[in-house]
Amino acid sequence: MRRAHRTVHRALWPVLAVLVMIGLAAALWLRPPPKVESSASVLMHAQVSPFPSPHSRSEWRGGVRGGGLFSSPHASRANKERPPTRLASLATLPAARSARGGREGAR
Amino acid sequence: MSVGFRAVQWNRRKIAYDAILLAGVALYIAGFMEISAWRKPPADWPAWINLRIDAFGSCAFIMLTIILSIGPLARLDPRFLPLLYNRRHFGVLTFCVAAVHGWSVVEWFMALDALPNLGKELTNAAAYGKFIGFPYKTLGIAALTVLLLLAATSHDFWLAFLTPPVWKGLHMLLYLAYGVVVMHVALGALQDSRGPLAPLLIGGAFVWVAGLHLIAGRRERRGDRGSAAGEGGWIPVGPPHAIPDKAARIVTAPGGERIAVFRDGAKVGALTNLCAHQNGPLGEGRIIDGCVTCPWHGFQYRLEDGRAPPPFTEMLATYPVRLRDGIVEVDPRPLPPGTPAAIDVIL
Repeated sequence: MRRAHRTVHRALWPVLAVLVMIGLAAALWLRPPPKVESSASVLMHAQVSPFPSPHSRSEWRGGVRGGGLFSSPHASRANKERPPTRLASLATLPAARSARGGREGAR
Repeated sequence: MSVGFRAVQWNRRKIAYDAILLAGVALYIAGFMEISAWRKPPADWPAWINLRIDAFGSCAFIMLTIILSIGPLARLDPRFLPLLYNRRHFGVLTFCVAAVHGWSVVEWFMALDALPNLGKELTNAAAYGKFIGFPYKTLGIAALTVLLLLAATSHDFWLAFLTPPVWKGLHMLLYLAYGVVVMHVALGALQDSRGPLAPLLIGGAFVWVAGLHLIAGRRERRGDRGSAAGEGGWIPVGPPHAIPDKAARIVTAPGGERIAVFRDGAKVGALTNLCAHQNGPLGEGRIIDGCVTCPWHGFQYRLEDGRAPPPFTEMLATYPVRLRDGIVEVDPRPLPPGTPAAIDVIL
């Protein structure tokens, strides 16, 4: 490495280390608490919703991995009110069915 | 263009390196998916994709952590130099693994017939003002773009075309990409992780990498302090026997680059410490078969004039050396590359 590269390297890493450590600590500190559900609701949820939430995301947010909105203006409310059952029903849609069926057929 | 393209020149060492690398990645991905599927069998196809997202994402993170550890580890302990030899192939494979991770996310949305939602998430301007809830996929895309740029320019053609200083500067973007990846994970996967293991692993990996770079940087700072110049600006190196045979002592021109003063038996010569290939630390190499050999990739130069032996054409700047009162001295003003400057000394 040239002297200029070493100088940049020496200046960059302390700044990067501090910024990322602060960001990481804040992301962990501020993360939303886990939802507390009764065992009955968990059981019911499991029965009506076989949908595999990615990373079991903390809440259902519009069928989007980690966030996002539906196209509909009532989307956010609808998302809260009708959680994963809507997703489960997506499996009957042609596109999802073909994607799923295609893969299963390939096995 | 003035630079000719030559395909990757394979040798046995590179093939072995790549085979071990590919086997490691395949084992990790297969093991991760197998164990995860055994612990919690995926219910349907999107769940399988989700498993793939996690497997490739975590694999890319581990690979990035290893890549960024190799450089400082090789600076701190030469035993790690063999890892550095084919590091660019490691980098290209890391990009491929990260690209599969990114593509799997798109496929997940497609499997749910919800691809527009991905676009909406990425273009949700209000979310960019938040910390928790920040569209962390954007961070992943930014890091993947950097990896693509680095993978695309990793070939020696681009190294020669861009010149080593520009190429090296470009590839230092990887440091920033790593920080961005850590935040991508922190604002994404870690938001749903409740156990202490995942945060400890991610945080530990970053502390490890940052710590290594800080330690290596601190050590390099000492080497960058200019050596005391004597009469006429000549820098004393020491008596000839103080320079290890077939190796070098490194001195630093005040405010300038480092100079590697080599001794090969009774012959002493000074070359720039920057290898013409990737600006590797030539002074940390040895003289093999009569040629100064770079510790990074084995590029060789003749001590007497800094020229690579035929048929190679690389040339290094040389420096005048003299023996004065039993002390080897070097003039920090470089001679044009390829100028003979080595002298014979009586031991």
